[in-house]
Amino acid sequence: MLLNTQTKSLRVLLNHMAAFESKAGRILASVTLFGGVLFQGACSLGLTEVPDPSGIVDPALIESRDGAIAMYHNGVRSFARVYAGGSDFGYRESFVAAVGLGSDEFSTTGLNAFALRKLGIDGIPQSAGAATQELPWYMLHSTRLQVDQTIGGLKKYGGESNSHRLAEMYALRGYISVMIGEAYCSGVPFSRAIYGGDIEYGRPISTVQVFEQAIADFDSALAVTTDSSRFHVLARIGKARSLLNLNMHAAAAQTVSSVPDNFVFDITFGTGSTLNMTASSDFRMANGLGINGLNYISAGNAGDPRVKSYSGGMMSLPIPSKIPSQSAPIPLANGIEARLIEAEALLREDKLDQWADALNALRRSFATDTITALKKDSTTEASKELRENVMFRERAFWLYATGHRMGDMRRIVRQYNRPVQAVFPVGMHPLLVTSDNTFSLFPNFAPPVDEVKQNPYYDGCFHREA
Amino acid sequence: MRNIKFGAAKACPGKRGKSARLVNWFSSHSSEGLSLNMSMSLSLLLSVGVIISGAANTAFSQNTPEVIDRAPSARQNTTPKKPAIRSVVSLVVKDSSISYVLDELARQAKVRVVYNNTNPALKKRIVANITRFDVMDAFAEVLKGTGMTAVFAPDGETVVIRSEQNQGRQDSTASKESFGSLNVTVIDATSKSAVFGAEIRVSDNSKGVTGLDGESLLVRVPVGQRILSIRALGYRGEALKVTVSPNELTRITVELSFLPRSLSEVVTTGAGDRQRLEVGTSSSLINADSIVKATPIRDISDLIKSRAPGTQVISSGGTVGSGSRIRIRGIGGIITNSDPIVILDGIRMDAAYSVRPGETQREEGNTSMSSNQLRTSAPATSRINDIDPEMIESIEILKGPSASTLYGSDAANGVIVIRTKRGRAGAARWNFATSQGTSSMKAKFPDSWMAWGSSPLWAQPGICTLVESSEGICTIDSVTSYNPLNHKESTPFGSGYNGSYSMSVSGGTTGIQYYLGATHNRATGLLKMPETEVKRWKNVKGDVPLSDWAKRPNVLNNTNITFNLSSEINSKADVRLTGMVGTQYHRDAARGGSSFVNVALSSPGYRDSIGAGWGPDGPLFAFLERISDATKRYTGGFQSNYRPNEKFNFSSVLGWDQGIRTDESLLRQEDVVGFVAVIPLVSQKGRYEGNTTNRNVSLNGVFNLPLPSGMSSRTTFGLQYQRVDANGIAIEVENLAPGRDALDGGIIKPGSPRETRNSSATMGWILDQTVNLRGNLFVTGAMRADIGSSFGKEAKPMLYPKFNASWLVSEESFFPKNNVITGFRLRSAFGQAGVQPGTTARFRSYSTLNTTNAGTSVVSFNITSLGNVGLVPERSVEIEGGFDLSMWEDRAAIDLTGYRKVAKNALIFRSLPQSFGVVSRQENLGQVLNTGLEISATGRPIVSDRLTTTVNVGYSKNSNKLQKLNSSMQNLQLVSLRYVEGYPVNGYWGNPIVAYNDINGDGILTPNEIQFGDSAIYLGQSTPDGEFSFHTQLSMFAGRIQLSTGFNLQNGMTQFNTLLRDQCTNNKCPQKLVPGTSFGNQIIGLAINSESNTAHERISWLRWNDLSLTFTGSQTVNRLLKASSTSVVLMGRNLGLWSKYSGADPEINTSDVGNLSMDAGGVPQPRDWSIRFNINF
Repeated sequence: MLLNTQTKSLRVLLNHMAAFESKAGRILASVTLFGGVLFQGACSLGLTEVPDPSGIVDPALIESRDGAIAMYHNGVRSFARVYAGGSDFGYRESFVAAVGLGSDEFSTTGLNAFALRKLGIDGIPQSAGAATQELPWYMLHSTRLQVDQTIGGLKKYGGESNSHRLAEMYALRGYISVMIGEAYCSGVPFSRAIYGGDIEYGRPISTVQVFEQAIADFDSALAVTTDSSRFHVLARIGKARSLLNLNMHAAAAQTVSSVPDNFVFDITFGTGSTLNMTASSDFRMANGLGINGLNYISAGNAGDPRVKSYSGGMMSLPIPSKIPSQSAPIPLANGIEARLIEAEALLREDKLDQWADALNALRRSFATDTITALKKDSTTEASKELRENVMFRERAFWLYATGHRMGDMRRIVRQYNRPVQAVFPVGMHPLLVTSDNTFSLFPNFAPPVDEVKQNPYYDGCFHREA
Repeated sequence: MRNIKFGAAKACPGKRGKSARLVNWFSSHSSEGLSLNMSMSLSLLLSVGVIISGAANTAFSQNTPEVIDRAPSARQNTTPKKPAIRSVVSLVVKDSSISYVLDELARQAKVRVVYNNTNPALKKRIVANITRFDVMDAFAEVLKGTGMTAVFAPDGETVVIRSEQNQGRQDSTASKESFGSLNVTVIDATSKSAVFGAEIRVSDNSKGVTGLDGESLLVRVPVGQRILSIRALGYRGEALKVTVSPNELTRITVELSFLPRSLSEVVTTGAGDRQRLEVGTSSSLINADSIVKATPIRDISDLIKSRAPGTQVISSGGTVGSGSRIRIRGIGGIITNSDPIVILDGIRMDAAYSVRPGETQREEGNTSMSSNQLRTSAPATSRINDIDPEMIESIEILKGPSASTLYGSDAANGVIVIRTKRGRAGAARWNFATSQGTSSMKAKFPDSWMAWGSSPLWAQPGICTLVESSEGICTIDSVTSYNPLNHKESTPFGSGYNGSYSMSVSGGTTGIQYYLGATHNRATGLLKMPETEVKRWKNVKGDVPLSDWAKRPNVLNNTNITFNLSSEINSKADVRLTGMVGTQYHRDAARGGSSFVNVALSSPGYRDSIGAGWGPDGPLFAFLERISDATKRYTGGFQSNYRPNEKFNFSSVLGWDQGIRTDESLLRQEDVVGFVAVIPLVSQKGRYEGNTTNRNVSLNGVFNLPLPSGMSSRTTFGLQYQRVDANGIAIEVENLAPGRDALDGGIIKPGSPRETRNSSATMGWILDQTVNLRGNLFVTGAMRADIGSSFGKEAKPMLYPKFNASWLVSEESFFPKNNVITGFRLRSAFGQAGVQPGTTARFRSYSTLNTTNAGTSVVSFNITSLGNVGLVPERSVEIEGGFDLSMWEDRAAIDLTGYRKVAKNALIFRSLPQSFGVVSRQENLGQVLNTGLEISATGRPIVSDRLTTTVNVGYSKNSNKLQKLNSSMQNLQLVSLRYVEGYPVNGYWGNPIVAYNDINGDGILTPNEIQFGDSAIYLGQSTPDGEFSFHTQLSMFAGRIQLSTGFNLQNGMTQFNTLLRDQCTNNKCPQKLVPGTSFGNQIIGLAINSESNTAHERISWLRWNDLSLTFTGSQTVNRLLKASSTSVVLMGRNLGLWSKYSGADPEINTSDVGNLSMDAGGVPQPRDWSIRFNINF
C-alpha cells in the first residue's frame, strides 16, 4: 500500500520534474523508489528485528505447553515463598510469620533490622498504611501475579492433561485472596496484569468481596478438576474457609464434609527451593502475649503436643516443634481443619454434644502424644462464651503457625461480638518501641502507604474494623 | 551588451557547453532596470601578465608587482560556485572609483575579485545605479568600454578582471600543453606555523591539500599564469595568480589569516555537510589539530572541555584513565542517560560514559561497553577516549534536537561529530611528535581529628566529642589532627608520568591520497604504595616482593593506528576508506582510590603506630587488588560519493565499530594472608569478556535544482540503519587457592557466571529540503522517520520534524555598510529528536530458576517485568535562535544562541502500586525543560608583526526543570536526591535547621538543642548551571613564540561531600570535636547525621586549565634537522584552582551513572607539566 502511494507520488513528481530535466527526474524517482523500497523492506525483511536479550526467557518458549508448566512450577515456588518462606530480597515476613506476629502466635526477638520491620506488624500501627507493612502485601500480590500469568498460560497452552495444575493454580489464587481477606482491612485493591495484555490498576473491594473472589477461584478449581484429587480437596477446604469468614458456617461444613480425615496439603520447603523461615530466629513463639494471648509455650511445656516448642536458631529461642527445621513442611489445608470447620458449624447450631465429640475425636485421632479429652465443664456444660473460647483455642492450637490465627481472632470479634481489646494483645508491648509503647488496637493490617501513593484508585481502607 | 566570459568554460573545455548553457539560463533571468552613468569615459587596459600578490595577509616568496586581491569578508570568501555566480547585487554610487565599485560588487556577491590596482583606469570615478543585477552582468556594465572583462575563475569564488587583449595571449600559452609543478606551502599568518589540511585549487582543475608540514605538491600543472585559490578551516580564503614555468618546480608560500567564526565553515547535518551560513542552528567546531599540537590534551574529553559553550565535561577523578561525563544543554531525561552520540567519520560508534541508574549492561537494554561489568568500584571509563586526539582533525558538536533531528531516535542529547585526519596529495610528509611529562598532587586534604578525653568511666584516655563533654560523660583534654594523605611518608600520591609518541605519514597523488598515523601513550598515575605501607608489608611478608600493581596501581597504556585512504575514481566519483585500530590497558585502584581517601579522612587523627596515621585499613589493601580493563577497538568505514551531474550527488557510508573489552579483578590469597583488616579480606578473581559491535549504513541522495530569480533548491533523501549487538560473560570466584590466580583456582560466587546479550536496531529515513532565497536567506525543512527494535513490531514510525532558517541580514540593501559591523546573521531553528527506551523495556519478561517441586528438580519461569508495549522514545523538542556578528573585518565575532528544549514523554521507572506484585515499569510520563543561553566570542584585539593576540571567550547558562512528573515519583530512593516538579532533575534536598538554642549556655550544642524543619527544602542542582571559559593566545616575534592559556569557571552546582558526612559520622570532623567551634560549624557536625544533609555545598570554582609556551624552530634549525618545520612546547595543566569547597576538589564526580555529582573520595585532578616536540619532514 505504501509502495503504491509512493509510486503514484513519484509519477506526479516525475512529470513535474520533466519540465526541468527529464534525466534528473528519473534519477530522483529512482532514489525515492529505492528509499521507499528500503524503508518498506526494513519492516518486511526484519532489519529491525533482533534476538531477544539475555536474562529473559524466549517468549516463544513462554507461549508453549512447556512454558506454561515452567510457569506453574514458579507459581508453586512463589506460593511457598509467601506462605512461609521469604521474599527474594531476603526479607522473612511470610504470611505465616506476619499473621503470627499480628496475632498472639509470635513475638519479635529484638531490635535488629528485620525485627524492627516486623514490629510494625507486631504492633499493628495506628496509622493506616505504614510503609513497614509492605511485606507480605507485596509478596502476596507478587505471588498472585505469578499464579495469574500461569493460569493464563495453562488455559491457553496447558491442554487437558494439565487440568490438575490449572486447578491447583486456581486454588492457590483463591488462598491468596483468603490470606488478604483475613489479614488486611476492608477495602483493598487487586491490581492486575492481564495475561498477554496491559495492566489494570485495582480498585478497592471490601473484605466480603475478597472472600467472594476467593470462592470464585475455588469454584473454578472445582470445576476444572472434578475428581477427588488433592487439588479438588484443597479447593473445598479453601472454599469452606472463605465461607467461614463470610459467617456461612453451615455451608462451610457442607463443603468440607467429603474431605478425608487424613488429607494433608503441605507446602514444602527445602534445599534448592524456598526455606521455611518460620524456624528462623527473627521471632519466637509467644506466651500470653498482651494479656489476651494464648499460653502456647506453657501449654506445650505442659505436654500439649500441638504447641510444643524447642530452643533453636542463633538465639536459642522457642520455635514450634512442628517446624523442626527450615525444610519442614507446613500444611496449607488438611483434614483437621475440615473437621474443625464442621465442629464450629455444630457449635453455631448449638449441637453441643456433637460439637464436643467432634473436638474430642480430633484430640484422639490426630495427636501424636496423648491429649486429654475436653471436659464437659468446658464444652457442653460451659457458658456460651467459654464454648466459643474453647472452639477458637482448639483451632489456635491445632492450626498453630499455619496462618489461621489472625483471621480467627478477627472472626471472634466480627462473628462472636467480642471487643477487639478482649481478643487481640493489648497493653504494653514487650519491647516498648512502638509509637506509644502499646499494642495497636487495629485488628488487621493496612496496605502500605505506597499503595495509596501509587494507585490512583486507592485512598486507603474502607475501615479498620475486624 | 554583456561582456562576460565564464571562466570555467575556458578551463574545462569538456564542460563548456553545459556551463555556457547555465550562464545563459541565469542571464535570461536577470533583472531589468540597468542604468549606469559614467562621469568619465573609461579607456582602461589591465595587464594580466603579472603575478598577483595577496591581500594584506598574503605574502609570496617571489618578488611580485602590486596586485590587489580583494578578499571578501568572512561570509563571502568561500561561497560555492553556483550560489556565487547566481548572486544578485544592487549598488548605487554617485562618485566612486571603479575599483571601489568592483570591490563592493564582489562583497555583495561573496566572490573574490582580482585586478591590478596600478592600472589608472580603475581609479576613474563613476556614477552607477545597479538594481538587482546578476553579478556578472553588473561587472560587465561597470567595465563596459574599458577594454577589460570579468572572468569567473573555475574555483567558483574568484572574478578576475583582465585585459581583453591579453586574454588571447594567455590562452595560447596554456594551449602549448607543457607542464610545470607547484609546491605550495601554507602557513598561519600570525604564528607562521604550517596550516594542515588547506585546500588548494588551480584554475586548470588541479587540486591538492596541505599535509602536516603545510605543503602541497601539484604536478602537471599547465604552464602559464594560473589562478591559485587556497582555503582552510578557520582561515580567510585567498586567491592569487602564479606563473607556472615549463618543467620547473615553482615554490610559493602563502600566509592565511585567522578567520574567527567563519560562516563559510563546513558544518555537519544529518543530511550531509553544509556551509555554516546555510544552517539555522548553532554548533561548535573545535579545530583539534592546532589545539593538540600546542596544548596539554590527554584525551577527547580534555579537548572538548570549555571549548564549546553549553557542553559540560565533568571529570570522574584524577587518576589516569578516568572517564568524564559529557552533558550538552543540560540533563535531557530523568532515567535515561544524557550522553550525546558520537559519529566518527560517518561511523556511529559506542562512546557512552554512563548507563541508566540502577542498570548495568547485563540487565535490561544497555548495549554500551562502558559499563563496569564486574561491579568493582573502579571509576568508569569513557569510551570516547579510545580515540586518540592526535588523529583528529576536527570535532563538531551539534548541541540539541534542532541540530540533531536527522540523527533520529538517539540524538536528543546532541551529537559529537569527529573527523580524523586525511591524506593529501603530494610527496610523503612525515610528522613526528612526542611529549614527556610528569604529574603531581597539589590538593590539600582536610585533616582527621581526634579529641582526647578522660572520664572516670574509662581506664584509658579516649575520644570525647563536644556533645559527650557537654553531657558530662567525659572531659576533652586536647585535640590532635592528622591526615596521612598530606605527609610524605604516608601519602599514596607520588609523581606520575605521561609520555606519548606519535607518527604520521600522508601523501599521495591527485587520484589517491593516504594518511597513516600511529600513537602510543603511556601514563602512570600518581598513586603509589606509601612508604609506611611498604614497611608494613615487609613486617608481615619479609622478603616477599610487593606486586608491581600494588606499587603503582594506576596505569594507562594505549596504542592507536588510524588510516585514511581516499581515491578519486574519476571526476564524478570518489571513495574513502577509513579505519582505526586501538588497544588500551587501564588499571586503577578501586574507585580511583576513594576507599583510602575516605579512610584517611576518618583515620585516627594522629600518627599512630599501626599505619602511620592510617589506622589498620590503609591503602595497602586497596592497592593489593588489581582491577583492570583492556579494550581492543576496531572502527572502520567505507564512504563513497557519486556525482552524475551538477544536480545530483549520491553518497554512502558503511560503518563498523567493534569493541572487545576484558575486565579483571584479582586479589591473591598469598597477598592477604597474614594481614588483619577491619573487613576480612577474601581472595577473589573476576573476569568479564564482552564484545560490542555497532554496524551502520547510511545512504544519501542530494538533488540540487536552480530556481528562478537566483533561488536554488536542494533536496536530500537519506536512509540510515544502525544495529548494535552487545555480548559478554562474567565469572567471579573467591577463596582462590594459594599460588593460583586462575578462575578455576577458586569457588564460583553466587550469581556467577553471568551472560549478557543485548541487541538493538534502528532504521531511519530522512527527507531534507533547503531553499536558498536570494542568496542570503536559507530555509530548511526536514523530517526523519524511525522504526526500531525497541519500539515493537506494531509501533508506527516515529517522526521527527525540523525547520530552520538563516538570514544574512548584512547582505540586505537596507543594512548600513560600515567598517564596524561587517557581517550579521540571524538564525532560528526548531527540531525534534529522541532517546530510545531500553531494548527489553517493552517485554513482559521472565527469568529462569531451578527449583524443586514435590521433591523433583524442575525449571520454572519467574516473571520479572511487566513490560510496557506502549513505550515510545523520549521526544525532545527544541527551539533555538540567535545571531552571528562579525566586526572590524572579522577581527572579532560574537555568536549568541538561546534555546528552549523540552523532553516530552520522558521515561521514568514508574513505581507501581504493590498490588501489582512488581515494583515498577518504564513509562513515558515526565517532562524535562532545559532553557539556556550560549555566547561565544572570538577576536584579535592586537595584530602586529611583533605581537598578535587571540581571545576566545565562551559563556553558557542552563536552567533545568522537571516540568511534569507523576506525583508518586516525588521521592527517589536516595536519601537526599529527589525528583520534584518545578525543580531540577536530580536536585538535592534536605531538612532545614530552623532554630538552635544553647540551653545550658556551655557553648556546646547538643542534638536536642537543634530544631529541624518538618519537610525537606531544595538545596541545589547536582550539575553546574553556568560555565565561563577563557582562552587566549599571544603570538610574538612573527609567530616564533606563542603563549596560550585557558581558564574555566563553573558555578551553580551543589556538591554532595560524602567524605565530610562520613567523617562527622565517625566523629572525626573538627565540627564535633574542637572546643570553641562556632555554633554554625557545630550544627554542621551534628546535623550531618540527620536528614538535613549539611554536607551539601553550593559551589563554584575557577580552574586555570592550561598554559603552554611554543617555540617554533627557525629556518636554520629546520635546515640542520632537514625538517620542514619544528616546534617545542612547554605545557602545564591544572595550574590553579579557586573554590570555597570544603573538600579537595569540587569537580570530582564519583557517581558514574545518571546525572548527579557526588564527591565520594575520588582522586583530585593532578597538576601536569610536560614538554612536547613536533617535527615535520
